[in-house]
Order: sequence, then C-alpha cells, then structure tokens
Amino acid sequence: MSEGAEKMDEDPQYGGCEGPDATYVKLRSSDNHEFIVKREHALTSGTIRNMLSGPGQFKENETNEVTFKEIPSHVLQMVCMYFTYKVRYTNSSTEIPDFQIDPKVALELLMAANFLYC
Amino acid sequence: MDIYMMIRRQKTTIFTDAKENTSVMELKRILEGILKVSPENQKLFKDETEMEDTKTLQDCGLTSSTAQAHKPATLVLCFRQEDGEFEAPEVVPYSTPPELPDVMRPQQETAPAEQIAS
Repeated sequence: MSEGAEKMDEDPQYGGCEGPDATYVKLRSSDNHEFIVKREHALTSGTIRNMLSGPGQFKENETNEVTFKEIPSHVLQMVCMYFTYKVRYTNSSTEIPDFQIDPKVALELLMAANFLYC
Repeated sequence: MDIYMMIRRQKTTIFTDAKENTSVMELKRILEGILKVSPENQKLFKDETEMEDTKTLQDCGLTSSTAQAHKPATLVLCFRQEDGEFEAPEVVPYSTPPELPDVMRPQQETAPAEQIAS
C-alpha cells in the first residue's frame, strides 16, 4: 500500500508491475520469455483473472507474475496480441478486422486458449 | 488514434499502446515505470533506426495502420551498460511451431480432408 502511495508522488503517471494495483503483469512462457501486458488486458483470460485476484493463496497475486510451463513463446505472443485485439474491439462500432492465425500455430493456440479460458 | 506496439529486448516483450502523437520521450517514461530504467539509459530502435526523443511515434513511422491491436509494430530496446556504452540491440527469437501434419497441409491431394476441417 505504501509502495503505491510513493509511486503516486514521484511518478504520477506510469505504473509498473508491483503491488496489487499494478498496471502491468508479467506472463512467462515455457522457454522463459517474459511478456509484460496491461493487467486489464490479461484479465480477458478467466484463468489469469482467477490467479491474480483469487483469495490471495496464489503467489502470482503478490508478484503479478504468472508462469506457463506448457505454453511456448510463439503461442504466448499470439495470446497477448489477442488480448489487445479483444479489449480494443469489444463493444466497438468500427469495423472489426479479422484476427489472422497461422495454421502451424493454430493447434497449440487452441490448447492454450482452452487452458486460459478465453 | 491509438497505436499498438511490442517493445522487445532479449527475452522480454512489452505490449503497450500509445497515441500517435506521443513523443518517444513519453514512451521511455512509460518503460521507466515498468522496467525501472531511466529514459537516459534507454535507446529505442524501429527497424534498425534509432528513435529520437523529440520525435513523435507518428514521425517514426508508427501509425494506426502499421501498428494495430492484433498486429502490433515491433520496437527494439537497449539499455546502457555499466561501462557507459549501450548494449547491442539483441532480441531472442521466439520458439518455432512444429511442422504441420500432412493432413493439415493446404490443398494438395487431400482436398476432401481440408473441407471437413473448415
């Protein structure tokens, strides 16, 4: 809590990855790539939402970091792009472009989407 | 208009968005909030061209058509090392997807199988 207050004084605009009100969260892939996305975007995934805002039993709740030991980086990259796409175009009246998926990645992406509930 | 980017450095990828008229300096401040590195110690590159602090993202070629939510533009980030020099831009590539099994290959002899899939 105090960490959050300090941040407000020195750095009035930009949040980081610390604390329960962090703007960003870190997603780690099986090959150790780190993907930093906005917390709001990551909450698109039901699984991540539960991990991050559960009753505090998950360590992820504190460090705002989630590690996916079965999801490789090329798939997690597409997942992150999907989060941005979903948040941008939900309830949007503008024309929504298609989300292109390379067939090679499609199967793994499907398994990740199933796990992530999004 | 909002533009969407992936900022990459070695094994880290940050997904963020900004307005087209945001300055490069402003973007570095956002990165400061996430990575805790001051803007003087950051260098951003777009396609091997260094991005100057005073320019806007639009001036560097990032527009709402080149940097979309589901197809973000890629920028490379470098930090200043302890010896005062900047590190060389380096990005660890993502994993590669496995080869497609024969039945999923696009239109060859197995046309009927393709139709069931779609």
